[in-house]
Amino acid sequence: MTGLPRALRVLVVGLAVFAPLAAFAADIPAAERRSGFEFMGRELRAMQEDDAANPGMLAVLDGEALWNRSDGAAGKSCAGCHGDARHSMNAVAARYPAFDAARGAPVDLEQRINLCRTERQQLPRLPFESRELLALAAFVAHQSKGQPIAIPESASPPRRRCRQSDFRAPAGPAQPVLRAMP
Amino acid sequence: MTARVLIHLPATARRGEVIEIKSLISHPMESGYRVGTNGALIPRDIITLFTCTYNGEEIFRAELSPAIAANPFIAFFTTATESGTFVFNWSGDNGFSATETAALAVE
Repeated sequence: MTGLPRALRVLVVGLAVFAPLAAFAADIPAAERRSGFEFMGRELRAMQEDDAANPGMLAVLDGEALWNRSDGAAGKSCAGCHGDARHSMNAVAARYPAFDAARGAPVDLEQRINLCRTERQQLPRLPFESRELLALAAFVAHQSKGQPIAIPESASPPRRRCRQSDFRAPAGPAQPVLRAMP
Repeated sequence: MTARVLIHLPATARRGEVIEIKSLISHPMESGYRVGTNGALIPRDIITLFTCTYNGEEIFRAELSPAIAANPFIAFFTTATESGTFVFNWSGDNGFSATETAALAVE
């Protein structure tokens, strides 16, 4: 059972984040779109709504500590640029995943945090599902708790067919490469 | 990372009122019965004792066992008798110890 509640929390955040994308594809009317939260059982909902009982709040506390920690070659913390997350990160998570025009690709909250780390803080990327990245994402997403997902129209990618390059791994440490046998 | 602790109780209460205290602590609660990828037992690492004192007097004590899941959540009730502080203490394997305090004002 280790870590299950946290995994569930992330799943719920994930469902909430990706629900609009699925709706975009299937064209579910806006009024009928529902959060993944509404598909959870009564006990799980009660636990998630009670900040005193939700173990995800422990990750939020971890994330707050990471937010304020100066690190890396730049010696910058998240708070060094963004300040108090309660104001600067309010409603931010509700806008993700967003289409990043500079990269020409969609970016989710975790990828955005990693972009900040590599470009601004000069720190290595955090692995997906790592404790630190989950904690930071939970902390940032917590500042938008209860807000509806609101992805701006301008942030949507132009409608087109998927290309293979859409699924390539982001830049970072080299992946092992399979080579043809001589 | 150090253990994270969340305590929830009302900031104020009337004298004689029964209040609920909720505590949550981050801890893996490794049971000692699981086997790792190398085939060896993962050593036990659990919280064994939780206590709560109210102005120095112990009002709640719980002995925790390996069957209790990670991040133990313990909630209990007490009667608000006077203003003061609650001291919560968790202790366990490998010298684990965490302490947290919370204040209550009784009108």
